[in-house]
Amino acid sequence: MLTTAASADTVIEAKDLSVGYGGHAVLTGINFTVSPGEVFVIGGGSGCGKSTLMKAMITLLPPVSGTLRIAGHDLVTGGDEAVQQVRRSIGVMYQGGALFGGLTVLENVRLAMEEQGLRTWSEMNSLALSLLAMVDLDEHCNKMPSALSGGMQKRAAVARALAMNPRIVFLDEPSAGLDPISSAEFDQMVVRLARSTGRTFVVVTHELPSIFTIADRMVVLGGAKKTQLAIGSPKELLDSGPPDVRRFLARQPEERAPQGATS
Amino acid sequence: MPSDVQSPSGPTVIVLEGELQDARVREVWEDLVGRARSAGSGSVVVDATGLREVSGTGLLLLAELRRTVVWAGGTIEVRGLSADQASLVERAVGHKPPEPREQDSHFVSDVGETAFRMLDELADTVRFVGGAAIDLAYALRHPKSLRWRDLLRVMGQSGIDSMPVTCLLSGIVGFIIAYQMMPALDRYGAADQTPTIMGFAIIRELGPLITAIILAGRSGSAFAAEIGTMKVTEEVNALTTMGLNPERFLVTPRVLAVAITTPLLSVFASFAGVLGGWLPMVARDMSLELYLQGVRNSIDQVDFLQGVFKAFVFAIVIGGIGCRSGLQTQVGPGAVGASTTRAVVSGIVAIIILDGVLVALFHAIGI
Repeated sequence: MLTTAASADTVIEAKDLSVGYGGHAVLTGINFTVSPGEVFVIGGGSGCGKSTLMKAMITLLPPVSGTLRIAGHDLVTGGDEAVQQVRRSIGVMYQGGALFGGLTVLENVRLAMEEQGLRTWSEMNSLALSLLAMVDLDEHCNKMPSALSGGMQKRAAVARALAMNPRIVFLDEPSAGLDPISSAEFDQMVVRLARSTGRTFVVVTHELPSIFTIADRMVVLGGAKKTQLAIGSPKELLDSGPPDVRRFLARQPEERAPQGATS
Repeated sequence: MPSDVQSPSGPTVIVLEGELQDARVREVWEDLVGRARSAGSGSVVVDATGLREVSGTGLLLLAELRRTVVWAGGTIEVRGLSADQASLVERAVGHKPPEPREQDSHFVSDVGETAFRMLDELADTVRFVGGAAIDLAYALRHPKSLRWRDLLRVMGQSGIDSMPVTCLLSGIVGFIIAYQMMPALDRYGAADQTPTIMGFAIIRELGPLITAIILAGRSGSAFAAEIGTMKVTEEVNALTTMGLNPERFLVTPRVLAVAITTPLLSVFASFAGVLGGWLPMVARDMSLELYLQGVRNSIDQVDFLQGVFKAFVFAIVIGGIGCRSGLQTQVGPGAVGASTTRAVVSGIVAIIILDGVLVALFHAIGI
């Protein structure tokens, strides 16, 4: 059986999941579920495996072992059919936006709809404009991506990610490269979109203000063996999580013991 | 002035006084590190209480002393530094770096590995170009699936924009060949056969080949750079997760564009080459009309179509290799440059080898 029906209250399920490159696991012991409509953050320090986990979830990297079920399709056992099904269920905003430089903002948002070929030209234009309005970019629809600021490019990328009506939207480091105000505006937009559209958002970030603003729950990755350290709401984890996680969320560097020192 | 006191049973004591600025650090570095080293796995006390000033380089010296003692298995105490300075010196010890691994390399195995890697690469390239040709056939059967705007843009770049340089080079090559051949033909009293040879050489061989080499330099490299940059900026990943096939989306319009323009360009290049070959004949009072008549008599439609067919095949191979190099782009600052170089070099090598194969094939089937 290629696919398995997801339980009604779970859109993502990771169980004993290991992910890595070339069949070699770099991140192991991942166990979490994500509910519909939830804003779920994958957090942790630099190099902890956040991006590797996200690549596996968005089908760019085959999982090494365990279970990874996205929108009901198991990426470990489901093969190409599951990969195609998952791609129809997700939208992705990449760290730099990854807008197509040769297309206008409107054309970027319209592209996937065009390729699907199920809608009329005016329907597609109208939908794309509505999506751009949701991210406050409708007045810039005819500009080329290079004419937009970094924050605007990211918002346009979110509109593009929403174009195919995905069940789950993945955002990779949305705050990276943004000034604090733009970053806060972006966070508000994510919360607004999540609440108003009921879609599930999975956000990879290590920005603490963003985490505390947007996350319903989060998984924290890290440790010497690169694994899952804790899962819960940011507030819970800050108050009663494991020491490493509390230190991460409280922005406290680890003290480094001197070697061979007597002074 | 540094001094040390050592008792047979006690620690080695290094006393530092005055200032430890850059010039002084250079003077005392070897001496102090040598003393710390000679303590072996014993204990060392560095008394910096009498130091008035310590520069950043001075702190590095203290860190080096600390590292030398700790890595030898000893203990060290540095007295008299401020808390911040002591913290920096302690931190600088770090971990002992691993010994560099010896390269397990052998000439014969290196050659073997390289040969196998090249064979794998060749097999992958053939598979990719074959896949691109199949996608091309699909696009021709389903024109709606094509990205027409990309197709027209690339046709303009690879066709119209390439025309001047291709014709110029082909004309110059034609001139050089005719000029170099005439003395040799003169020896046999056959200089009037120059148009015959030019017809064969340029229309069957050099016209398509020069066009293909310029195509590799202009379009093959451009495809690799464009697609490579898209790979680096995650646009290719974006296409993939949007459920769009990057090969069909990026490769097909480009390969189709050069497959259309290159044969046409090759016809113009051949004509320019033939005309270039006429220039040396002016000195022999051969009219253009007579020269072209000679060229026309030397070739037939099959020769002409052979040249066009070669250009078509070269275009698919160069377009395919350029796009594949782009899609294989790795990460890092030199990645796109490396892909571009690979596209041009592999493209030129491939078409010259392929030209040899086609010549043998045409000869074998008698055309």
